[in-house]
Amino acid sequence: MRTFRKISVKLTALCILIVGISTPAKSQVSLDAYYNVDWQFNIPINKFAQKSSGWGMNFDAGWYLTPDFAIGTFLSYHTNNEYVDRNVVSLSPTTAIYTDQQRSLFQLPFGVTALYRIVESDWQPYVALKLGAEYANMSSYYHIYKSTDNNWGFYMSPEIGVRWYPWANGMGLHAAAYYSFSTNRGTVMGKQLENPGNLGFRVGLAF
Amino acid sequence: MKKMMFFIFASILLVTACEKTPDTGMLDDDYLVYTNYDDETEFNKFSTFYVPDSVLIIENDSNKPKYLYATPESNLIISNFVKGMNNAGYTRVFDKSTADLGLQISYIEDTYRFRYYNDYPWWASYPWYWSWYYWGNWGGWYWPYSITYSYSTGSILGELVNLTEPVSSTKSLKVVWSCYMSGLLNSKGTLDSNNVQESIQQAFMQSSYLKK
Repeated sequence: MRTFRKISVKLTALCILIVGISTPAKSQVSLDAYYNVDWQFNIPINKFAQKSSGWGMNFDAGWYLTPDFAIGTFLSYHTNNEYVDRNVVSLSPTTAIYTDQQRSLFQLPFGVTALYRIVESDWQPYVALKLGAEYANMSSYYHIYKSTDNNWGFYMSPEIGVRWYPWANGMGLHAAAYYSFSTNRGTVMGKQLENPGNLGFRVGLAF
Repeated sequence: MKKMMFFIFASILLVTACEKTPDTGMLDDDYLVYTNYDDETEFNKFSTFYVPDSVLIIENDSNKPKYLYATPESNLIISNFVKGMNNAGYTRVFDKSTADLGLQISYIEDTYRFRYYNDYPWWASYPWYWSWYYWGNWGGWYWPYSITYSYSTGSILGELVNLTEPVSSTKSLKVVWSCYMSGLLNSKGTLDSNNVQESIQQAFMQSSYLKK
């Protein structure tokens, strides 16, 4: 009896999944386009500001050239801060400063997206590659001072995600996982930033 | 179309207020110590130093030079600098003509006035700043390294000058070591003795090249 129940639950789940992915996508705003507004969380891969945060947003807009393939544009931003305890920092071979500091890295990439939609239905899993430029603002807050460096780099980010349109009003939900890499470089308070990366996920609304 | 407009409007609104400023309240509000030196100077060749018995006050509204002289504050500041120099292996002398190094100490009481000075560094443009003539018939000051800091109220500035060079009115007197300590005031707006002591000690600790 217990085995039968298990099989029933699995079959029900499978049926829901099949029905879900095979239902035509009639409820999104436009069948030829997609739009996302997301909140995002990241794990930064750099040596400047390493603390994970949810201080980020992502915006996507794209248009389907074929039923499966779309090109689009994106813009996102994220801030990571890290408190660094009091220590002696070498600013140059002859200059030293003793202080604690709050480091902050603000990243703002934007550019174009190539997207492949795996299934066209209410559930729309996809894979995408984003290419563009990244503006980064590095800051260090210490004592009553602030040191900054702004820099630009090339940006690249593979992404996997899914859009789900359960309602008839055109609005849906979006979830994605991403990795990003950029060629930004800079130095603030003797600490270098070189080719920062990010691992993260984003969730939000799809239109 | 309405949804598109909402999307665009929301995007603009969110991007314009997007950078999250870190919580500076997490900073410990303790003192800051900055040091710099001339890397061509061989500090182990010096043996003696002279320090004036007064600390110059750099302040906003002054028609004549002012000094901290024989006050608890000046005694605290000078004695800690002397202690640091002694620990580094240098001997204090009371005749400046026999000293290898000169140590001039300033207390920045107010910086308001100095925003109008564009010369570099600004404190050297303070009309009552230490004169190079105090150390001999020199032609001016010379910092062999760049000074890139703005200075704040309630700070101490210490500078070592090289007195072993032949005196010349056509040459500038070289400042071979600079230290700057900020955040030394307590809640009453007066110098905190613990902060003064610890910050001067820290200045010598992070200047390991300053050794006989």
